[in-house]
Amino acid sequence: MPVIRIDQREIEADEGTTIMQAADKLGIFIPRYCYHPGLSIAGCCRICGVEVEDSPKLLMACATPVKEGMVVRTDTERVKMGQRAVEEFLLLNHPLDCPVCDQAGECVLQDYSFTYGFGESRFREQKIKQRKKDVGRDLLLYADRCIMCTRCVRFAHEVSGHDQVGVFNRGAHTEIGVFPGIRIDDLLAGNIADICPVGAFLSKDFLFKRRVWELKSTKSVCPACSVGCSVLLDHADGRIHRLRPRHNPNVNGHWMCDIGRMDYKMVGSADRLKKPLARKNGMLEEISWSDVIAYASGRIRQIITRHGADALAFVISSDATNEEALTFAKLAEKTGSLQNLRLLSGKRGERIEFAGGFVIESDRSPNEHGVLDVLKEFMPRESQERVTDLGSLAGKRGLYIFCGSHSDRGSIQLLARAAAAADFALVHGNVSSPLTEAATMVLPGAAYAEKEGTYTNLRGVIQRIHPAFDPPGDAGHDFDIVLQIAGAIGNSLPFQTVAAASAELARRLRGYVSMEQTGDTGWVNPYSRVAGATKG
Amino acid sequence: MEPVLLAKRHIENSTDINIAIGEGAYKALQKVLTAMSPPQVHKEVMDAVLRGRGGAGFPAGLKWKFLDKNPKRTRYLCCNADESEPGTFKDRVIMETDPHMLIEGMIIACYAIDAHAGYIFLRGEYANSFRILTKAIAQAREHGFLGDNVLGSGFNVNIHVHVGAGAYICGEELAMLESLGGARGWPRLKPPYAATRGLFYEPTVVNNVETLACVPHIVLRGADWFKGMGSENNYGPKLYCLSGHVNKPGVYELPMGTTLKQLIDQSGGGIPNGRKLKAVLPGGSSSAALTAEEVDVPMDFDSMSKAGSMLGSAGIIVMDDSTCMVNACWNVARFYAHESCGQCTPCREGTNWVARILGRIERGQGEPGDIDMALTICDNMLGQTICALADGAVFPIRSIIQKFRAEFERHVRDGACPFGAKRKWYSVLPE
Repeated sequence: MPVIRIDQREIEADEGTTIMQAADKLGIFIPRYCYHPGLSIAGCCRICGVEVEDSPKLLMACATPVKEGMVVRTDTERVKMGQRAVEEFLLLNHPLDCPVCDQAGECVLQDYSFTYGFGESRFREQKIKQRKKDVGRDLLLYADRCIMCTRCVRFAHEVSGHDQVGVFNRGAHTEIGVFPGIRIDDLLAGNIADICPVGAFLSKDFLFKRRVWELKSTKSVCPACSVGCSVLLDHADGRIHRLRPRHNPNVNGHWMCDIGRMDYKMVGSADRLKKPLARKNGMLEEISWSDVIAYASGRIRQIITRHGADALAFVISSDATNEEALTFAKLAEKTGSLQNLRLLSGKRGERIEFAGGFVIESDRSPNEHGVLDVLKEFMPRESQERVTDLGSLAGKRGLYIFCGSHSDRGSIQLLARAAAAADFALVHGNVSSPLTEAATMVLPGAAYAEKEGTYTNLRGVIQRIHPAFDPPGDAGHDFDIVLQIAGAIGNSLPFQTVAAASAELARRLRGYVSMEQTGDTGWVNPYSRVAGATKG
Repeated sequence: MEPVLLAKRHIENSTDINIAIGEGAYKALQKVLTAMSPPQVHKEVMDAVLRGRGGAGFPAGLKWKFLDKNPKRTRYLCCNADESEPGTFKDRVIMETDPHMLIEGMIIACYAIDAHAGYIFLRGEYANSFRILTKAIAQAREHGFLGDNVLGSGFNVNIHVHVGAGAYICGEELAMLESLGGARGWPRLKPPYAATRGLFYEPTVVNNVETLACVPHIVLRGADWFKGMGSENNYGPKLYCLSGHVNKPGVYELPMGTTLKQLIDQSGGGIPNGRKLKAVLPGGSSSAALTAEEVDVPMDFDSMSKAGSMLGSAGIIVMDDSTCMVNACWNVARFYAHESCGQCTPCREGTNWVARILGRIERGQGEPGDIDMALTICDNMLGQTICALADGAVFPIRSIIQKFRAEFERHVRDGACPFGAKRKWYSVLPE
């Protein structure tokens, strides 16, 4: 492997990598606009020029492969002059409308202007103005803010494969655009706003909602399909304002889809359950937590004593975390109803694969894989094949259903009929549904952004989610709710915290690790049924 | 000297294949196919030190040598006929008076590099050349010079003409190949060069029209004959395009290394109306300007680069003392601002900025400091881009400002053009 020197520091670079990658490895930052690690090299912004010994011109760090013995300088006056020049050129026809631009605060052009720029403009001519364009379902193009890095063009060609974005006109009038009648409406379009280093492509959904420096970011996992893209939840004051993909080579690469990007709306929706409810005189009425736990556990004990444990069934949705599934299964084990443990599957959709290898899976819920792993660990072998057979629950006297916001509609209808026919139906969930309408009691739970735990994706990658804020109103944490019910029935579980449950999972399930060990990019379960990760 | 490339210029109907054959066309091809192997043809061109006539002066033989010879890959020959450099019109004369010389040169080049398809990327405005070339190619095919089994030798070759859509940048080798491949004419990052990743991402040789036109003559008469013309390391006949303030503008064929002074005074018949020479752009609009004192210089690649300019496409633009150099400089700058492809930041923004500053100076709205600012912008553009278009803009602009700085300063000081607003510029370009 070639050994090169960058700013007097030696590094053994990988064969075929570039100066930029070698410098990144050393922690030496070279500015970049057009370079994006998930796209091909364009080399057109010209800001990453570095001095290389024996080369008369500045060489572009993003496009120059390393060679044995190369001596690179990134801090000389010539390099700085080149950076200043590019900064000055880029700002000539830029409208400098940062105060009204959504990108301000996370704008690469803005940041570099402070770091590498002149501070004042020598330009006295009229600026070239270009129009704002509505180019897609969720995309606005402010063409005059564009710096022509062509990341969007390469993204549409290489990753989404839909090729809607192109370069039009020439010289200083060059602009990004789409052909008449074409819109950037594919399901990866949102990434274009993410990769745009300036405020040219903006998301309509996020437009003028918040200044970005007011947002806090929490690491999480997208719950909208069983790929489980690593994401950042950008939130403020207990509300999510947008989702952004978080780079994870094990799962999603650099990207995420628009289904997932818009899924956050469920978290703050008006349909959220905020208070525990109990049916009185045929109507669901608000009730306190202590009463609902006492009453629910009493009814469960009653059914077991009168009709036996087989009259009781437990259903858990694929929205639950692995830790929640573990407590749920433990509860079913304690009551002796393991044979009646069922999975409530997620919604199904079309499996979509993009040109760059990014996939949206047909299972549109986060954790079917993980919940099944847990349930099968506990269920008796002979009843395992009935794990998804919800029809077999008809006639059960008592039902405890852990419903999710990504659960299959048909299954919910089926369960709602079973719940209406049962003596007692305890429904635990975070949004109202036909199932909550049919319930005897409703326990308001948390959404994925409000809780802690792990999800296992379709390929067996175990990823951790972190709580961004508390659940709304009186809604509780699902893990604690199940613990409390178990305690009130008289069957305390052997762990009291999510972390302890996670450690228990790591002990019991083959290939699992506790949530502390998953790291930011997840743990790839070596025994998973489907090996490998989706490219992105 | 006896004309070589322009030998058929004054023969009536010289574009017709029968008349061309009567004048000796396709003789070299017959010699190649019957008596020479591809390496022999290559060696002859290599020995002749045929330097590329498109502007860079890179030896054609070396270009052929660097071509990826992997037998599993398809090789292509491209003829760069996108002659868009202001002041240059030599390729048009070849294509319109002797298309068969070009076609023959291309067939021989294809034979030497083991390519079976040749493309002529023709400047969009050359409608007449297109008509003549397509007819000539059809005739060559009828006569068995093109197609399968050329003259019974077992060698197959075809030539296609592609008409560009009017972008100067498509004369840049890799932008041309992008355009030819169906994409936007943006120059590619180098390396890889065309020799390994060219047209349709296959190994490709790109040669200028005039370069390919020399090939049949080299093959027929030998490398030594070719080296008998011109100066050291700059051999052969050369077409010079004279335009601007000369009595007899036009294309002249002379041995490489004829001095610029000789070209203007003898071939061009001097400056009209008894005026004095002021400045020359010797190698198309992309070359640095030479003043009247600097014109006694041989017009070959090495001497011109030693003189601080370049031979380029040998498009000699002559300006007499009635010329406002600010206006001339602005005119050149506007051309590059219009033709910059928009890919690299320094060129996209810089060419436009300089053009607008120069326009202000010419209109009398220049401010002190504008001239130095224009020079620093030039410095910021030079050598900072993927292709050489920005360099081509900087060379003339910077040299004109440096060599005629007093004139610029006078514009700024007087707040007006001392040559008066004699000419109104009609332009769609930024003012």
